Order: sequence, then C-alpha cells, then structure tokens
Amino acid sequence: MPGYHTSRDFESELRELRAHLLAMGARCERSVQLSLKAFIEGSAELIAEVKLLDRHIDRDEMESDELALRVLALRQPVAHDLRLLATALKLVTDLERIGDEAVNIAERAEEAGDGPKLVPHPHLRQMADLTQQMLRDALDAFVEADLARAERVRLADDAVDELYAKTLSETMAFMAQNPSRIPVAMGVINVAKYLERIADHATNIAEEVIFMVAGHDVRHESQRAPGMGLNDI
Amino acid sequence: MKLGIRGRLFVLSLGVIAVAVAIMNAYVSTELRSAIEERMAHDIAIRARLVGHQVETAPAGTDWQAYAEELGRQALARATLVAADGTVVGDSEVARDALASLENHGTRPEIVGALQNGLGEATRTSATIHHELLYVAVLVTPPSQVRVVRLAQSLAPIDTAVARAHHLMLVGTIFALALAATLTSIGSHFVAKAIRTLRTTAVAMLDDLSVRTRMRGTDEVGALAEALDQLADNLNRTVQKLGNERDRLAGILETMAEGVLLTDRTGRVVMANASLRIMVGATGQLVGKEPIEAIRSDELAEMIDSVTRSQKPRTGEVDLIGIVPRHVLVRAAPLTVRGNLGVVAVLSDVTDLRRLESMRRDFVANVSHELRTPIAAIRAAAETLEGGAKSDPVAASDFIGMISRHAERLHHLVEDLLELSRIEAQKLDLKPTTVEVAEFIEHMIGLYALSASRREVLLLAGRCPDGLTFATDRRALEQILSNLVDNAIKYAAPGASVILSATERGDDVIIAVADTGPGIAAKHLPRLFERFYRVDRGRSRDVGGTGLGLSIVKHLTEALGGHVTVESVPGQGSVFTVFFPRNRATALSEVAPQPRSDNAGLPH
Repeated sequence: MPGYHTSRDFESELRELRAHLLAMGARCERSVQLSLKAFIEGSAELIAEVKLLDRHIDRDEMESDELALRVLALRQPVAHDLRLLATALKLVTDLERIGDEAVNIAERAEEAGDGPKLVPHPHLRQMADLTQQMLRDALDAFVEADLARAERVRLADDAVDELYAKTLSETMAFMAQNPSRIPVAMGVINVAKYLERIADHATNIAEEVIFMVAGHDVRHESQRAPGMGLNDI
Repeated sequence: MKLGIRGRLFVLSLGVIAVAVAIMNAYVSTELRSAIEERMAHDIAIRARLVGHQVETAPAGTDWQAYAEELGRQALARATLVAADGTVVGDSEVARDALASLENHGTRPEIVGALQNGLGEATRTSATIHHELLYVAVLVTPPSQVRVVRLAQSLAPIDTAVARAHHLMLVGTIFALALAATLTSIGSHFVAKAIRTLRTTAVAMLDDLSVRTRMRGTDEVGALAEALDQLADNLNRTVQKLGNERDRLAGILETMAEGVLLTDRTGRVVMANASLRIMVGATGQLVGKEPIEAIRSDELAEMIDSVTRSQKPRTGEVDLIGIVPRHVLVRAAPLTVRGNLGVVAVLSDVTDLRRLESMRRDFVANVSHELRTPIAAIRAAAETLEGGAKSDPVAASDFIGMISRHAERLHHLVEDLLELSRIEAQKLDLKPTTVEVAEFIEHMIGLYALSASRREVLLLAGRCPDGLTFATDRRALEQILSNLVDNAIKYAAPGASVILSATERGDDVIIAVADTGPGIAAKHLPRLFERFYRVDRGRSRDVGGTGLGLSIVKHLTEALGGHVTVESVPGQGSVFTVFFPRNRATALSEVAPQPRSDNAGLPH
C-alpha cells in the first residue's frame, strides 16, 4: 500500500517542513538585516556573515525541496496539505532569491569598503525598513495563516515601488551634480534595486500564503478571467 | 439484583426468621409429637394395668358390658374386655346389641402381645370409629372370663396440640416478620439517611471543598463522616498550597525581566512569560506553536532543538530580528524532573549590556588615542631639543612652545575626564541658589566678550523675560553655558554671531545658545553628546577641544534635573537648548541627596 501512512508520521513531516521553511525565512530576514547594516556601517565581519548565511540558505532550499517532494511522492496529500506542499516548493525559491539579494547588497558594501559613504538616503532607509517589515509580515502571515496580513504585504509593495522611483531620480540628480561620487551613488541605486526585488519576493510569499490559506490564486489578477481559481485542488 | 441497605437487611432478617421457623417446625412435628405420644402411651399403660387389677377383683357373673362402660368412664378411654378366645365381652364405646357382631379380637397385635407378654401396644386407625388410636392391652391374672383388658385412646389430641403449636408459631412468625421489617426499616433508615447525607456532601465537595459533613458519632458512619471531613480538609490544604505555589511561580515568571519559554515533549511551546513576549515582539498566541513559529530565530530554534535531542543544557547568544532588533543571551536546559518534560529556555536581553561594553571599549581606545597624540608630540619635541635643537634659540622656543601647548592639552583632557567621572559618580556638591536669568546671560556674555571679539564673532543677548528666575547650582549652570558658548565661538567663522536667549515654557526654564556657524550634519547629531565624538577631528583639535565638552554639558544638565537638545542646519547654524525644570529644589535633592564635605566642588 504505497499511499498508506499513519497520520502521525505525516503530521510530523509537515511540521518538520514548516519548521524548516521558517528557519530558512529567519535566516533570510537576518541576512537582509545584516547586509543593510554592512552597507550603512561597513563591516567586513558582517559581509562574511551574510555570505555564510547565504550558503546555509542555499542548503535550506535543497533540503526543504527534498522534504516537500518526498512527502508529496510518498503521502500523496490532498486539499490543504497539498496546497501547503505546493506553497513550500514556491516559497523556498523566493526565500533563496532573497538570500542572494542580501549577498548582492553585502557585495556593494564590500565594493564601497571603508571609503567615503554617501549619507544614507532617507528614502533608501525607508525602503529598507519597509522591505524588512514586508518580509517579516509575509512570514508572520505564513505562521498565522493570516490573510489580512498577507494582503497588507501586497499593498505595501506599491509603496516600495514608489520609494524606489524616488530614490532613483534623486540619486540620478545627485550624480549629475557630483560626478566624482558616481561610484558611491551607483551603490545606492543598486541596493535600492535589490531592496525592490526583495519586496517583490516578499509579495510573492504573501500571495503564496493567500493561496495556501484560501485556496485561490491572486497572482496576476488583472490578466485572469473572473471565476478562475484553483479551489478544486 | 440491586437492593438498598434496607432491602438487604430485610432479606437477611427474613432469612434468619425462615431458618428459625423451619427448625422449630421440625422440632414441633417430630419431637413434640413423639414426646406427647410417649407420654400418652406411658399414661395409658398405667391406666390399663390399674384397670386390669380392677377386673381381677370383679366378682363372677358381672355384667361385663356395663362394667366396661364404667371402666371407660373412669379411665377416660375406650375400654374393651376380651375373653381368652378373643371374643369381645364388653366395650365402652360399643352398644350391647352390637357386641355380638364385633369380630374376634384375638388376632389384634396388642391382644396377641398381651397374651404372650402380659402387655401389648399398637397404633392404628380403628375400624370401628375411624380414628387413629393408641391401643394398650394387659393380661388379667388369674384368668377369669375376661382374659385381656384393652384401653384405647384417640391420638387426635396430639394432632390438635401440634396444630395449635403450629398456629402459635405462625402467629409468632408473622409477628417476628413484621417486627423484623419494622426494625430493619427503622435501623436501615437511619444508616441509609446518614450514608445519603455523606454521599450528598461528597458530591458537593467535588465543586466546593469548603463543604463539611458536620456529622459526629462513635459508630462506623460517624467515623466515616469524620474521615471524609479530614479528607476534605487535607485536600483543601493541598489545593490551597498548590494554588499558592502556582500563583507565586506564575507571579515570579510574569514579573521577571528574563524571557522564559517552555516547550513540551513534542517540542511545542507550552508557556511563554510577559517578558518573552515583549522581547520577541509577539503579537499572537505563542502557546501551541513550534519555537520557530513563535520566535522567528533559526538560531534559537536550533538551540532548543539540540537541547531536546541531546538533553544537555546549552548557552549562547542570538540576534532577534524584529522591529527592535535585540541581542539576547539564551540559556536552554532540558526539564528532566520526573522524566523528560521538554526544554526551558531563559532569554536575557543583553542588547544594552553589549552596547555598553562596546562603548567602554571605544572609550578606552579613545582615551588612549587622545593621550597618545600629545605625549608623542611632547616626546618628539623633547628628543629634538636633546638632539641639539636647544642650541638654536629660535627652534628651541618653537619646541618648548610645542611642549607647553601639548602639556596644556593633556591637562585639559585630564581635567575634563575627572570632571566627567565626578558628574557620573554623582559626587557633585550642588547648592541651589536663585539665579536671575537675564543677569546670568549678561554675566556669560561678559566672560566671553573678549574671546568672541578676538575671533570676530558677535556675542549677543537675545530675548529674555524680565525677572525670570529659578533655583539651580550657579556654578554648574555656568559650566554648562561656558562649554556651549565657548564651542559656538570656537567653531563659528569670523563674522558669525552667537545669541544667548532664555524663555519659559510650562514648568521649564529654557536657555538657548544659537549660532550662525557652519552647522552640523544630521548624521552626527545623535552621537554628538558622546564622549570623544567629533564631527571633524582635525578641526576640533585645531581649536583645542578635548572631545568631552558636550558630554560634560549633557551629564551636568542631567545632574541638574534637566536635558539638552541640539538642532542644526548645515551651512546655517546650530541651536543648543538646555531645559531645566523650574521645580529645582526637588530635582536637585534627587540627584544629590546630601552635600559632601570631602568634595572640592566644581573646578573651573
């Protein structure tokens, strides 16, 4: 009986998967936080830690994938359990990408070295705070199966995009006036770009959580015929 | 079969009565009957012998029928006179006419017995009167016409007696049964009532342990009631003790500064105290979750997991991400009281501690650095002088000037450090006196007029309400304002102005030192009052700063119960504002509870 399982084993496997995903998420949050701190304060130690965390996150991705696929193959889950596993498979990809973006930020910090720093742009700071908040909220929404919170994350994405546009235009103006500081300003633009991507991944996570909890797909809603959903899973 | 205590007692007594009645019945039927029979037989035998003797004395030619009737009357029995051949010659119960029709009695067992042994007995139902009769016959000697005299008596009276005895017993039994029923009913009623009360009380105790049976007695029920009360007392005490203990523990857990997290055997959170919730910024329910769900820290989750697996305590520091990132020291240990109960993790917030540690490290490094620079300069100058420069008067005076300048800087530095440590140790001899603010500002302007004009800085008194006074330590106030005014003049470019003004707002007296100097970039503002923090290192040294002035201002202001703020716009100038609570006396007494005589006061 290949599909047979005692529910306790299955339950503990799902719990393990959830714990695994959350540990990975926690590492991503930490990685983002440390990389931003490294970019603002400049610390070789922090940069090294971000890179170490990224290796751990990469390992997490493989382990979580394996765990999810094994459960999927052996237990053949249905309904909510199946949605959790499908979500897990997508979640790890987003989390892994967030880890990579954190490394990118740390690398910009590395390039800047101990040289003169651009006074951290207020909009960049806001972006950093908001992005981290989004990531935290997205993972909290996953833990609590909280649709409202996931919805908030989706809404916050627009604010991040706005801040990104502002940071971009203001930094461009700064570059035009201070050509000698273009390398430093480029760092700011890049970090803003990475933050914007992290916010996108956080939004993806929130959407995946909505799918997991409510069973309907909210991605690319505008391109979809009304009434189309994945409730049948 | 379900019987109450009453039913059981009744059945029991019924049983006892039944057995007693059965035994008595058996006795009456056999023993009583045989005893009466025996007695009757004995009695009738005696009568038969007596009658026999009488017959012997009867004269010849007697009318035997009449004689028999007479004998029957006297002996109260049926008397029968039988001849040797067995013919009946007289019978008290048979009419004379019927005598001839009587059959020969010679074969009757009692007659046969009498003829052979002199006495014969038999019991049988009489063919004549259809009764069970006891027959006793005796031989008459010497022989006459009557050879045997027989007496017969009915056994019916025995049956009657036995029947009467049975009747009596029946009545007695019924009476005994009624009595038994009543007595068991009454007896069991009391017992059952007591037991019902006990039961009701016991059931009531389930909800309320203060209920007592209040039944006393020396019997078993009383003892049971007492035992029940004692049990309740005991339970009550135990419950109260446990409750108190639990409340105490809960109180300790909730009020302690450390966060406490408890997981069960399956690794789920079963308890988290208030401090922990604050520490991790928890918004939802923590109980019932996995540690990683409750607190999103992979490091903490790994620690708890490893303690669960290894059953060995672990200590480590982890960073908690959140709106307010925290650095916490975690001590996780297995709870192994009576088997594996899970893991308890105690989290201490060491964010401030670590920051203080790093500040102290920075401070030591800063002080060393600040001391090293002038010492190196002095050493270099001294060595140069020794190396021959002293013979060159111009160079010698340059180097001596250098030594003197750096020695002066060392002096200032050491003075400032001492001052700062005195303020921090709160060893200030603060004597509140009434300070008239307008006059005080004029005084400050007077003190710095010369140095201001030297640097071509305009030092002015701004707005100040007339008659604004407050109680404070004047020398401390002077030192605060001196530092601020001195800084403003030092860093201002020629042509700039420095304005001292004062105002009052609510309970605060506010004194501001505004300048139109270069201003300070916003990023420096949060750290401006830290020791050795310098906006521009080179510039600060040029003007002879020690990097401690603003730190002294901050600490001294706080010692006076006030606080200091700074606002600045780069390129336009800065405003340093000191706020003092008007209610100075209490503010001062809080800071310096008693004046110290061993303190030299504020040096200048």
